[in-house]
Amino acid sequence: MIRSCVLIAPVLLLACIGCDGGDGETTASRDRIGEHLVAQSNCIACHRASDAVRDRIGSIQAPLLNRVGERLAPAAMREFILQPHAVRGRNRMPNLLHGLPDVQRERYADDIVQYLQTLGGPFQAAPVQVMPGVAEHGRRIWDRIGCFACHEDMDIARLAGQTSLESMESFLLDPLASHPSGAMPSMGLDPSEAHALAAWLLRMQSDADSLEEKPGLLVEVHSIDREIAPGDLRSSDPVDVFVSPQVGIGPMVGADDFALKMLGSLLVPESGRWSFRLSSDDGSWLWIDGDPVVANAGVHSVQSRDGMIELDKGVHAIEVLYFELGGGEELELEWRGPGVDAYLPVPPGAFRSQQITYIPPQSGLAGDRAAISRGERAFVGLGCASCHVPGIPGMAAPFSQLRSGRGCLEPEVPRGVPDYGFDDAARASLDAVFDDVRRLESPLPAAAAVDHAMLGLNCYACHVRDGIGGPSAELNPLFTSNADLGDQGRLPPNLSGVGNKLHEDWIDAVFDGASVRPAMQVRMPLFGSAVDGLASLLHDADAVAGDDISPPFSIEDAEVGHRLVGADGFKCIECHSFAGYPSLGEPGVDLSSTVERIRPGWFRRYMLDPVEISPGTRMPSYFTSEQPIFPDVLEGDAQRQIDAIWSYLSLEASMPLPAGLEHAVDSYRLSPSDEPIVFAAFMEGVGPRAIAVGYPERAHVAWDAEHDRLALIWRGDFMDARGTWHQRAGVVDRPAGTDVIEPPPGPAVGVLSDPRQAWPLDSGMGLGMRLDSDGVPRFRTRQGGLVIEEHAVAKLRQGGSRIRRILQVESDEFVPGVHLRAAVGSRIVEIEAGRYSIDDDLEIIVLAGDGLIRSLGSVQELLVPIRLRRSGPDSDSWIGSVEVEVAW
Amino acid sequence: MVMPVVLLALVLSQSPSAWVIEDVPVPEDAVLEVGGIASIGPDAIAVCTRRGELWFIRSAFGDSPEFTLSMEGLHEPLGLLKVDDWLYVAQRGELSRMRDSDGDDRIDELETVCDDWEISGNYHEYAFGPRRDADGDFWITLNKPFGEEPFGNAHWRGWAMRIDADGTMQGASAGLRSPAGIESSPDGEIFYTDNQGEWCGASKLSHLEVGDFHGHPHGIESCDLPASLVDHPGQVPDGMPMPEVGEVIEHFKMPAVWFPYDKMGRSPSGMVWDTTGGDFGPFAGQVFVGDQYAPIVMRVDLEQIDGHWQGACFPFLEGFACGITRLAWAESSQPTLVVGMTDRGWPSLGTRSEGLQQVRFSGTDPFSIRTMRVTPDGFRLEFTSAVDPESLGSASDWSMSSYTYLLHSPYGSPETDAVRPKITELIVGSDGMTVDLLVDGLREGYVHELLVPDLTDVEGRRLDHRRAYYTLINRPTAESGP
Repeated sequence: MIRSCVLIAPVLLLACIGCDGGDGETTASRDRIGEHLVAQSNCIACHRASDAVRDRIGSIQAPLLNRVGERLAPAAMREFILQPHAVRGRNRMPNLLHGLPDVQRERYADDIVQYLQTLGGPFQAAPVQVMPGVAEHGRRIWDRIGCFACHEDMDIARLAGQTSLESMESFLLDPLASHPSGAMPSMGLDPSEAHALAAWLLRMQSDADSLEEKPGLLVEVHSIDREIAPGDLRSSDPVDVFVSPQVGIGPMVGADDFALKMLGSLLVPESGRWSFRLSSDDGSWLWIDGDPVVANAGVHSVQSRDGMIELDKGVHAIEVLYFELGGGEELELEWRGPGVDAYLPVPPGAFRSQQITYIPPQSGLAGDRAAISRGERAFVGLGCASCHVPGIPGMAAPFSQLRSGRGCLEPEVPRGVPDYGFDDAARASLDAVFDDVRRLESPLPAAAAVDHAMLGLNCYACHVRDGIGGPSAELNPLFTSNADLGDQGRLPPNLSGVGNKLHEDWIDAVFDGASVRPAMQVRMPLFGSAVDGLASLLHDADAVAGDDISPPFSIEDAEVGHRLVGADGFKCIECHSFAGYPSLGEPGVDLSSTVERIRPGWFRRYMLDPVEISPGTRMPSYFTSEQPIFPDVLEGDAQRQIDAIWSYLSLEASMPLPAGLEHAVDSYRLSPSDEPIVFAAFMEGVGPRAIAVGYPERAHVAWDAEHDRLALIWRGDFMDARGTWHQRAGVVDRPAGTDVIEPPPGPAVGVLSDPRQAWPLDSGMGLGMRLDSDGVPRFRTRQGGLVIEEHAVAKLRQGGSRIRRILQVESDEFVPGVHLRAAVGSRIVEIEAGRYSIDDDLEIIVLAGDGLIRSLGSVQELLVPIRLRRSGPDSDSWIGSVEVEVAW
Repeated sequence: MVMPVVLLALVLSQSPSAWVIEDVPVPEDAVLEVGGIASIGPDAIAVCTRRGELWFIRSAFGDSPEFTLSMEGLHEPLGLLKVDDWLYVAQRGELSRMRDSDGDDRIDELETVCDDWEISGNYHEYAFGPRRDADGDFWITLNKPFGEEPFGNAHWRGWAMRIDADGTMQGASAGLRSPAGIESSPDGEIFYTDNQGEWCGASKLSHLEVGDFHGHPHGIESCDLPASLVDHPGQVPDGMPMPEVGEVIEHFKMPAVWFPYDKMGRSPSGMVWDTTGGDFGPFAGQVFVGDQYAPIVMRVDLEQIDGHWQGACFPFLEGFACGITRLAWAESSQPTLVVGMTDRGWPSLGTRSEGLQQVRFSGTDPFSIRTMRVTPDGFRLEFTSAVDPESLGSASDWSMSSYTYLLHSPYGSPETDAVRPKITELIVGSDGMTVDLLVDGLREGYVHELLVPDLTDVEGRRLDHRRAYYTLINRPTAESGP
């Protein structure tokens, strides 16, 4: 995509600096802008620089052209090579042909285009049909995710001449593949979003004749022989196509074994919340603008399912999928929303079926060999390759010899030297750099390096840091939210001091796509390797010594903290979610990841006076008044109360949910609160006879009743029973939580007659279970002559609860060589007495008995011998027991 | 999915008021999708649910029953049976027994009795039961899967299994489809209900005996396993009228009663024999059968002809709140029929999605056809009170049709080979309690659907239900009886 070439025009750059709050002051000095222009102009691609300079300036990879012939129309390439500065916006491709006679320039351009066409080309594209409403959906995505922040002035006429819809979609899905500099970052689009956005961007390609409105929906008929699910028809060709006035069976009444895919647009009369009811026999699904709205899957008699979606007034893309196997058939779509008080069939007048034809730019032709060869020589000789091809060394004077006012920086750029189209201000900034180029040999201080990086990636388009940047007054209102959280729910966060607020690892996680702000519509772009090292720079620039020290953890404090966040405390649950359980009110940040994200010193200061740190925040100030709100809790001491909350938050994924939050949980989510929950299901990783046991400490296990063994351990959420309890169900379930681990395969207890003997893997025989007073099942298994009873309990620990496995063994006779196999790994190390690290992934703490590590080939096992003893002085029965704790 | 719009209104519009249906109030936060019911003492029942819970309900039939959640984490338990102080339960993957040993109404131990059958992880692999036969062995019925089998094909699906007290399991009968009800008769014979679908042309009540094949080929590969007591039926004919199948497959078992689709519900489920000796009304010895689609209880009267159990089904009670899964007798001051319901995954008529109701007899008999039995020349109807001879009309005012079904792979069978046998004569018994119908054209292997005129009894009451459906498998000779 030529449009998103790496370089940032100085005019725009200067416009975006200092626009925060209109105070006009900026800390970005002229030097910084000069260095920024050095980086963006990629001077060091041609002018070889020392490693120190490269580290300071940053080397930027111009767009990779190895598939450019496939994605760009030859006419657009030619125009761009001839007149790069005619492209508006932030493009900074230099003109390399200026000053030559027109005939020569055009010949160069033609030859280079011929050459570039051999890279994956020539460009070939046929007209494509786009469903109505798709482009409108694309416009909404553009607005919602914040494309406008960088692309203020999109030249859509030029864009329409550059590429095909398909190429635009692939580019939007993964811009970093061809543009690794991050100048056009990835927006994390899914394929349907990319399709819609591409249709919006290339809307000038629409053929006017195809825009004429046609009523109804376009229906593809597919032949099927089994139940289908969404996606199953992707590679199926329709056996028939017709237009239906509305959602329904139409002419297929009485037929069997078919599926209908209905496509078109939906005219929504008023903006607001719309409910849809889809009734069908057999299954059906509804998507609007690519979002799933109703799923009424499976083979069934007529049944209705509802779904809800916020829709703006106007045209939306709609798709209905329906299938019918045997027997009767029925399909109806009803809606309810602004102006439609009760469910009514969506009327025929609401549907449009015209498909819009997108006419791509003219295809290219294979060039002649001589021209291609000339073009390739010109591509290298003129210097294009120095920026566009990795590893091609620069051919111009070394960077250290550059001086102000020369070459590229002359007001009249000499022939044969790249012309960047710098204006006077840019030249002045650059001249200031080249007045003393040796300064660039020393590294930038961290704060300046952060500023340099943020200028380069245009972070300032959205974020404020230290008074610089942020959206302009015109763009600010375009940032929207679906929650009433003020600017915090709408605008990307202020990054002043962010390197002290957030752990470095979390900043990297954010760069990788992590997000904790559900209300925010605008998306944080993904810059790929272009942000490597930035988190560390932020830390160096901002971190306050000592702010990384946590208050001491105690279970008692954690319990106090638990009370303080709940309905009887500060009611944090009003705005904050916990472990994925939505808050009672507005969708604020989920606090279960606090300790993973936030540095403890910052947390303490923020809690003490949130407004001081974040002016305008919706976060209440609990500790700024003289009278404590809870004088009886920890003697009313603010510091201790805050530390208690921190202790609670440091339970992380296994934090017990705050009081008052549970009622908001939907009815299929199983959340043990005061007692364990036992739940049977089909489970992945366990089998068709899984018995899951969930504990209030939010660490859980699943037992495989088929093979009589503990099969899974995990933390966080327990199970969502929807797959097992909703309708016909029968879904193979998974743990709803995180950090899932699997104990070693086979039975836990075995008899080894010889220490080299391989672990016996034959299953025992299930005997059932005993239930203790808490309702915790103790699973009983016969294993040879032994009867084994195993159960688990969860123990609260900082960083996440642990699971304690407790096993008891009974026998009618003495059996030597009974062992528990506690772990299997490739590297097991005893860290301290009784505490073992398994492949650095988890730890086993042997609480009763002595662990022993044995190696069998490349595998190591942690065994715990279980010595049998008489159960009483005169008893004929023998017993033994073992306890281990699993920490991970 | 077959879903005709015909409603049951026509046949069920004259429900008797001789029985009273009342709710059993359920706590607000309980979701009582009933899978099994067992009496555990005076006014006390245990109920297991599809969500895997076991509830003990005491003072169950008053205004404020006491619910205790006795256990959770059972895997789709769909039957309960009390034997001594144990409650036996069929879970998806095992037959278990459980008990409360300290009297707090919470289960303390659960023993696995048998888990030798397999499940593939398909939702339709339900297990029903157990019930005990005359020898004290347990029987369970196993649904066949319907769709994906994520953990691989499983043996014994579509079978009835017999399990002895030691937990040894044998495959007793094959060819079942969706055997949602299993019950033992007062003599310890085992019967089951099956739901119409592929290879099951019409819903039915069938007698389960060792070695039988009931028509569905899904699980016949298990016939080759050592634990099978059923011979492999070979290729099962696809599209053959039911009366002919026995000629091809020797051990093919004809049903005791067919429930014609939409005329007698759609999905028969749990059942009970009326063992009240007349305290619950005039149908002692007959079978009450619930339906999962229609909120009704149907009635079946069985007789044994030449060794085969067969008989008639009749409409009985309507007006329940939801499709019915289970029926059970409770121990109470007067006979109480407990009705357990859920419509999950199988949309039913009615106003609720799940729950419990109770039925009691008012003490006043309705005017009903009590029995319809086959004779060498036709049928004998017996009524619950003496018929007004004036209302009988002539033989031509009575009508009969007969039809059978196909054994075939499509979902459900139409009524096939239908004719109208001629009723030639009516003979009223001297006490007015019986009417003998002489019929031309009785056919073995056919349903004989009877529509009687608008009869009144000697007290002027109208007959409550005018239709009856006799499944004639064996026709008696003058010598053989009945």
